[in-house]
Amino acid sequence: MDSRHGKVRMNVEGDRLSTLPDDLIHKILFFLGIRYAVQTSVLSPRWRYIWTTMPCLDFSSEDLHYRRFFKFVTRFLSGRNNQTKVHCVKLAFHEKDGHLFVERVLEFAFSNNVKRLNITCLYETENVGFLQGFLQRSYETPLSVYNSQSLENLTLSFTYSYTYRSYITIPPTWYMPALTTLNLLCVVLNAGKTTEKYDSLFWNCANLKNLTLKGCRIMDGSEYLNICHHGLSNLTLGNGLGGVNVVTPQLKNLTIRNWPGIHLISAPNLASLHYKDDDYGRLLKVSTDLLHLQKADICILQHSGSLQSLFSGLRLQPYIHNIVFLLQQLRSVKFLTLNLELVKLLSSSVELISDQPSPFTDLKSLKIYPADITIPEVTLSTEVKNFLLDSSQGATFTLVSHEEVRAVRNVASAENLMRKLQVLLDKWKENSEINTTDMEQDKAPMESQTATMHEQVEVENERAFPDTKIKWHFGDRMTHIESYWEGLNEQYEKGYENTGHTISMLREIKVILTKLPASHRDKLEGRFSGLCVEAETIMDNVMDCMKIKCGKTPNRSNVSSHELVTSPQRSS
Amino acid sequence: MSYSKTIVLTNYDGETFVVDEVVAVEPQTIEHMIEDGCANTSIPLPNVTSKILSKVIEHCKKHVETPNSNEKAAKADLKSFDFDFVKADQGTLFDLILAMNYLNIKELLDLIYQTVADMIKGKTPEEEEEMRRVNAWVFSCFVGVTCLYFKSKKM
Repeated sequence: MDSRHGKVRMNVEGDRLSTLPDDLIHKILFFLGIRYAVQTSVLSPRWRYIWTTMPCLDFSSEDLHYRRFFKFVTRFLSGRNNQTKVHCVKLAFHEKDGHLFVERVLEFAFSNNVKRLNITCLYETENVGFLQGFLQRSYETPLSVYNSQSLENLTLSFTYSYTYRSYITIPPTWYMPALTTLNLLCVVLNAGKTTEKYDSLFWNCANLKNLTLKGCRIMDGSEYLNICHHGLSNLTLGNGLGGVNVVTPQLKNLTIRNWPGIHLISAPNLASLHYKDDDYGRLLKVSTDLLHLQKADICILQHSGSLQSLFSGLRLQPYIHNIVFLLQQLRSVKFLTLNLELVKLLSSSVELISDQPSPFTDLKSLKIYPADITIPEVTLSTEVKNFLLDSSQGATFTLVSHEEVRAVRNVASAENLMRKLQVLLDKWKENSEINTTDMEQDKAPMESQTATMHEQVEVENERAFPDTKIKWHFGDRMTHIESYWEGLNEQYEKGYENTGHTISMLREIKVILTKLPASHRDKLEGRFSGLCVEAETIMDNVMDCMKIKCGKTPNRSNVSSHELVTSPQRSS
Repeated sequence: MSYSKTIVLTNYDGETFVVDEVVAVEPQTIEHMIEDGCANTSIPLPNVTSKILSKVIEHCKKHVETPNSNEKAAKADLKSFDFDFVKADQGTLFDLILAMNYLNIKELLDLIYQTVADMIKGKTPEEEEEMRRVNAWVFSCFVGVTCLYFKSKKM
């Protein structure tokens, strides 16, 4: 032990980590996790107080039991150096944790003029009785009562459960003049019974630029949610329920995914629109001129098996009429992307568009792609094509084929698999390196032990050394051998498992690669063969390692995964 | 044309690197220097060794050359490049942290911090000791504290 300490002391100058400036160490501690960060205080005087001045606090990575976590956080906050600023606070809690705790952290964050705040309420998977559904408690987030001059970025993420839900009263009473980004996930918005027509959400956040609402619901009894803001430039609405009116004179980018009942009342500066609707919901209603629209991506998907399609005769006509109306509102768009299913819908009632002039006067490019490749391909009818392209002669028209979409998806999945395999191989390599060094270390003491034993036996013979020492060595060696066998067994199982996993992944990638058209495959082939070679080397090494351990001479296997590399080329 | 304009970087050892301007402005620090007109002859980077500077330039080149598109393939390629990039020995990694921090290249820094944090977490006590080379006697003063060191020692 002593010698090791000596060695360590000699190399104190070599501690690069401790010589880094505090702000860089804080960054590393942030990635280390808050509990580890505090634990580093025992390392040396240099590290003792570093955690107390961390500017970014993440209380979300811990899976501690509530009481212990509460205690930890309380002690952490009281142990912190109050002179230093906090920039961001991230907190995740279970809803049963009690709001006292949340309020404690919020109070801390706001009193420290935090700039970024991220609060997540974790999902509880508890059984909920039938009756409890009726006893739902609504809880107003404590945030509504806070004011902050400094907060710039706020994310609130909640979950629904039968017994509990969080809501925000609209308009909230908070006053946050610096807030630029607000993300609300799964929050119930209590719009109340706002009588004034456009009395709006977030009016007291004058600098808000980016707003995201995902999975939000408008509380029962409320009429509409009004999003009226003079400075808002990016708005994302996804998977929500309830009518929304949007009045935003500065809006540049609007993204809507599966949120029926949105009414775009005013957005004169809109430059880009992404709209996706998977169902026959209430289609986006646009009642304003979008004169500056550059890019529009519209995807309206009809699920062939859905109930609505049974009533298609009754409901389809007005629906398609609405689609045509929506397209007409996008008349100044330059780059338009549509999905093939939408175009197919238009083709099914040509009479609606045949006498209409083409709305797009300034189109530069039109792209049509299939969103659902299980639906058989359809040819584009001339009426639809004329409707889309007649008024702008110079537009380029691209029709993405099913094969292309399939190829792109296959490329993505092949790449994904390769990435996973790379991770697996890297881990395995690292482990096997550790194991080999272990093995060398294992061997070394065994040899030295036998050597010392020999010596000692000789010594004993000569000088009659006390035999207790030999006994001690003997017992030690037994346990050593035992643990060695255990380690061997473990390594054997691990090797077997990893080899199987690697080979099956390689096969899977190979199958995908054979499906790809040659142009796409060429790009991936190099990487794939590299992976094959790497896998082969590692598997060989591990095998050799095992063989050495079993006392056999290593014998490199000639079965190579090169076969896997060459075969896809042959098959095309 | 602005593309063909080159910038001369002089490093710690006095070596000079001639780089296209588009590559050189990738680090914010250099961009600001050029904007402020401090880059007429050459930009001195006294804190950076030639080994690290060439690595940084390699990184900037890759990020400039990769088209700024939404293409998944290009993004994935860049990501795997970055992952390979941080697979360096600890000495290089610490030099990189200092250099990247000085040059203000944010996106890669986060990845390096994560890598160092993983190193600290994933190391056995001996390895960590080796890596940090701190005075081991400190540990004996804090027996009983639930710390990284003792926790991992049990494993």
